[in-house]
Amino acid sequence: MGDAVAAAPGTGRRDIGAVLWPLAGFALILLVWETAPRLGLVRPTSIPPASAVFGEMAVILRDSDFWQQTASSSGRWVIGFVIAIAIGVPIGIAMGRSRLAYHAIDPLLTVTYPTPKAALILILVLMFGAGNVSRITIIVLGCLIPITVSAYHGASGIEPKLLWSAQAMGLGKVRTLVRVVLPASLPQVLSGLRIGIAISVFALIASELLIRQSGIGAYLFTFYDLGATLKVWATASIIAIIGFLLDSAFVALTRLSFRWLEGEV
Amino acid sequence: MASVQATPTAEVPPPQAPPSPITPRRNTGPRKLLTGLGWIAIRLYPVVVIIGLWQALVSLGLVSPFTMPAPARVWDVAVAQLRDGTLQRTTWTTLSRIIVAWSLAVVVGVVVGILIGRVQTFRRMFRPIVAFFFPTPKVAIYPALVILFGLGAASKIALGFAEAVFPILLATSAAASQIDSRLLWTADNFETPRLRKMSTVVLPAALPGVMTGARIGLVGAIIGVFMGELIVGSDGLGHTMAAAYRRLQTGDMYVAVAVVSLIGFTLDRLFLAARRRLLRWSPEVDH
Amino acid sequence: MTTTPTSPTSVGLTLVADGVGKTFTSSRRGSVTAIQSIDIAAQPGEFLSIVGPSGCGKSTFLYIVGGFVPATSGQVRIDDKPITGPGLQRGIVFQEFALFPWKTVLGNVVFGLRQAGVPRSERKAKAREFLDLVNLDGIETLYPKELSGGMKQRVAIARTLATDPDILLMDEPFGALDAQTRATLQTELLDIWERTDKTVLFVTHSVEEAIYLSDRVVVLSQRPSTVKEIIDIDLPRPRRREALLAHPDYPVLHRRIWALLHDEVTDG
Repeated sequence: MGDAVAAAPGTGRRDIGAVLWPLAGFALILLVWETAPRLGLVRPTSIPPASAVFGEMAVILRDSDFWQQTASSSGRWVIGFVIAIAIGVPIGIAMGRSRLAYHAIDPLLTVTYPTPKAALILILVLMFGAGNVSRITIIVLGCLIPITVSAYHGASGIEPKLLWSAQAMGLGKVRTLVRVVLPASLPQVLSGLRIGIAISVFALIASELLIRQSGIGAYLFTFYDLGATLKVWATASIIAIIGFLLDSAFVALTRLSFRWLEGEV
Repeated sequence: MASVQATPTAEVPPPQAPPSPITPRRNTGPRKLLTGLGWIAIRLYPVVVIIGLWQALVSLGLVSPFTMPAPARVWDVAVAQLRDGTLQRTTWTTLSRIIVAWSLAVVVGVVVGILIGRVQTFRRMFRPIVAFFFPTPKVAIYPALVILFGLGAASKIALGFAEAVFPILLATSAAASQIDSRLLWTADNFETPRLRKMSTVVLPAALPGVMTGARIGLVGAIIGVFMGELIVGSDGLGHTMAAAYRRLQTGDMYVAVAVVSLIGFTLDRLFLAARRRLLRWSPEVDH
Repeated sequence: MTTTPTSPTSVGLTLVADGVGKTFTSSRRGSVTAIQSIDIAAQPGEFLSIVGPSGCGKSTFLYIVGGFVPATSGQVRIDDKPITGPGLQRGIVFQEFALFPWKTVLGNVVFGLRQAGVPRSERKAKAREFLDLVNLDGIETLYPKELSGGMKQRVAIARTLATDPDILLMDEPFGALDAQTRATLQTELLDIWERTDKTVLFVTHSVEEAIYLSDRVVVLSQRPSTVKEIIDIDLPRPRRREALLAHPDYPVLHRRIWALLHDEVTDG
């Protein structure tokens, strides 16, 4: 029936299927990407065929300028992300454990939530110039709320019994925080961080597409300005892969570091 | 509240949905005593505080009135724009694009999500692809989209669609794959044909999850359209902001931000109201 | 998903489980044989209970008969034709979870009727008939979340009965209810059954319930399960609860079945 419900007997056959079909899926997409432009189904000047894009990607990866820009982007991103964690996680946990903190900060979150933070970049540029400060700030603003909210969910959802056990064992407030609250909140916090990565990378690229001073977004936009379609697609693909790799790396890292976590991040 | 769990058995399990923003749903004692107007007051209080802080910053001279004009000044600019109709026009331009992008994302996201959630072959073929694209910054593809679709609405809608479709798709496939078997068996018991089972059983059963994804998708659509207009555009709120930036008219910039935030807030509220109605049968949805 | 056509006469169909076995394989846990081999032949119009220790696969067996889970060995035949999947002919009643929460009470009952080919104009009336049959009145616009456990179960029964299946499969339908509601529903079920010619396969873990309701009781062994014994319940019908409990044969039967089950549990 092909339904999710029925389990297929015969484990051997099933394992091959689990590898074969994903490959078939990718192959299909690549096939369409390759043939549609060549057949003229889409304008090859707008979407170059896959092989051409891959070839160009190799060229770009050999461009030292690309690596330079990537390095400056990465630096900004790391700083911004770390700051967001340093601010968001403690606040979120405080909100989860303290009524006062919750009521003080939640209104702030609900008001600022609907604003697309990346839109504020231009205002920040007016305030702080087009340098790193404004760009790092945007990255921080972009992912601060999801990280904070996840930390809040993690900290507020702790089983009371865990905390009672800590009390019974005579753990003081600080110890309880470190030994019980932090680990118990970890799954949610990690989920929030994972989303934060995606959002912050978005904010980074978006800000660099807007203020085209340096960075990988600026690098991309230059090609657009020049009308170099092939390079635009190639760079965009590289950025996409970087985004994917960052995410995979994060998942792998958390799995290795926190093997005791049940389930998945 | 969206619980953040990963969908099972993928090499890189994509997150199901980002945690929803905190809405004050906790039954604190004082809240229970409030009625109608009082409730609105509570909701507006944070906005009042923000504006108050804003005004304080300006009055105290902590920020230059150029980079952060006083609230009153921004209000004046907004009113002027309303008077000559530009605000309505640009707002509608952006809003219509958002609605189109989101609607497309819902249709595609739900259909593909149900297929991925319930048909094993489909899931094996396409879930890895979805998992690949989910964490990528879709905005990186925006210049390519402009080359493809031109400077007009299509590229903005495409970016909004790209940002919105993934959370919807993932939430739908997760919900569709976790339906209680006995509900489906009941439909099978009655010999329900497969297609009708999809529309009369799978879809309603998955609806709570779908709605969570759709809510997040709404945010994505707004961000996608607005950023698209901002980066390369000729009309809409994003473009207004970019143009104002180039002319160093900060008042207009703040108006644009305020309006898009308002759009975000309003659409979210409308969505929640629709969700309450559509999910009135669900025990978990608060009413 | 084809099924054997419903026979025109209402005499009832013969249901035969022939060496039915079920082994679950998972890449993580290896294989688990829930059911070794179950052989049961149900007479047309019979009320058959299935009891067994927890985890012995009695529900799984029912799902196999219903066609929702494929057997890994053996066969289920209705009037000598093997089943190929679920069908209207074998109506299943789960515990409360199987009502569609997004449909009203009436909507739930109508759902089956639509599939059974009842014309649109008659569906609501017929649905109300069956809601009446299970003694539910005036709740048709409510959603399942607003119903009590007993009411939900009644709706589930009404929904299945409305499509007039020849065979009724019931998976511990009263298990989640309190003792009083349970007793009431048992009597109501017997009432309904006595008025029709349906064959009933009733899974339960309650020995009292099995004796009260059935013509025969199938006792399953521990997993991997087989049929330990099939016991005839030769108590007079219609069954009256007080008279039943006072009947001399009742304690004998009860002890016998309980001992069979208890054996299984201690042997483990």
